[in-house]
Amino acid sequence: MTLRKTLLYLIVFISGAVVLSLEILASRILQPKFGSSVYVWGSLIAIFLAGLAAGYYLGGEIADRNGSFTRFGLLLLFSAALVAAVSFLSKPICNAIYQRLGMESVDRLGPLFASLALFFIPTAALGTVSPYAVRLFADDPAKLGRQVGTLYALSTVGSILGTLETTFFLIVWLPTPRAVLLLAAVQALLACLALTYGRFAAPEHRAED
Amino acid sequence: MRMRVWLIPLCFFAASLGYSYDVLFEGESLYHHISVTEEDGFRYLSFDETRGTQSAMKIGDPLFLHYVYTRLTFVGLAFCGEPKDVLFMGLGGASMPKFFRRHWPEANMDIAEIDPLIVEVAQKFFAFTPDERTKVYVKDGRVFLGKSEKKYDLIVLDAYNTNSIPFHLTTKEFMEEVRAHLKPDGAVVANIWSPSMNKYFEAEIKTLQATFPELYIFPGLSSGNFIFVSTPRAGQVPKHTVVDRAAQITREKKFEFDLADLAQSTYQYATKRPTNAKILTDDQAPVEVLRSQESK
Repeated sequence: MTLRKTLLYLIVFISGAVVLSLEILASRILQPKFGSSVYVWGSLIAIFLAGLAAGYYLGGEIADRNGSFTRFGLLLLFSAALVAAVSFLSKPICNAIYQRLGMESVDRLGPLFASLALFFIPTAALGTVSPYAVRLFADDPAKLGRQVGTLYALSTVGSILGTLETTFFLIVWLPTPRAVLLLAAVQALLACLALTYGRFAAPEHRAED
Repeated sequence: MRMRVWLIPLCFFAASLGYSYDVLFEGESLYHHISVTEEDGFRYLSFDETRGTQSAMKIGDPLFLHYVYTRLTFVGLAFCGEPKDVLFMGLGGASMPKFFRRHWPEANMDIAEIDPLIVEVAQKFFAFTPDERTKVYVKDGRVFLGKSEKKYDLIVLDAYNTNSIPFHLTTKEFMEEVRAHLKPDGAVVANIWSPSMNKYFEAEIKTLQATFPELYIFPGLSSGNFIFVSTPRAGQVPKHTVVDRAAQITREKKFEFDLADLAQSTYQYATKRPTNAKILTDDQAPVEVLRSQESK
């Protein structure tokens, strides 16, 4: 297996873990302000799925337009910055939304607005990873189904591990804001790997760059 | 063989009709699987089957407090004076609110319960009938408190006895919110279910010690429930004072059980109880994991 493929597998796997890990941390962020009602989980799942949907679409679009490892790295860096922003903005945004809503609607609308404001855009950025990786991966059109399947399977397995690791370890080790920053650091690391590879990429791939 | 095969569905049907108890109600809310069963003159409320019963009501005597911890909860009244305004977080089978309302008909009672099906089940099966001075808020307890301006003489936290503890109701920030809603001579009573000494139990002690100047623990002995009492007012209320006040309440209100006796045998002054647990905060309160870890 080439370095290129290994790198793409790794990025897709880890990003899959980061998305789900962020979703679990998101519930820890929303719960103190908006309670443990079903609206919190419902809003989170809805917004995360919406973000992923937007990310999948955009990721595919920009990858086709002028995809390259270097640009992939920049995209990953951007997603890392957005996740880091969540760490700093979570309390101010939740407080601001909480203040503006009265007792009647705060538990129903609060989680929806807070999820939207905090998590839609970072999740969308994280969602661009898989389709972009598919684009960078593709070499033999006859194997396209297999390649796409493998990448998405890896992303999903990453998500499972991200969920378990967050629930059993991350929230025990670190306070939530720092755990979110750790996720940002991990994404940034992936960005560096992609950027480094893009910089020193083998000549035969330069045409695609 | 071919005819005897009919015994199989017959057996299953017979089994599904229930064993030695009657199932009065079984349903799913968004939060719990709820079942109401009746056996030997008692009606039981259970969540999610595997964890035992939440509440028990004696059929002929709906105000009878069956579980010791429900009686022990009222030891909180020995710390707060005349309870004119009371808040219950978590309704369950409403045994404590019903009992309270019976003996303090003039008091204002607020109840915060997140699950609307529990409110319905309490009314249908557990003789819970809210009156004009009882307000039920179908809302998360912390959200209710945060948006409320009210102050209470007594706040009863009874949202911890299902299989999962909502972490946002265990943290320092939440306890500070509770403190802000207590009158200066008020008290908060928390029912913590802890069948064994674990790290969550210690962490909750640490958290209360960090928020309130005083903490008392009344173990429910065999049930695994612990009643924690905290007051915003500093100064230990000594055991004999608590017992005397409990005796006075038992006498005046004609309780069927002896609250003074319960207080006498379980009183523990825990303000200075050493614990090396970490305070639970909104940012970090891994209560599930802590609960599975034994404290040293």
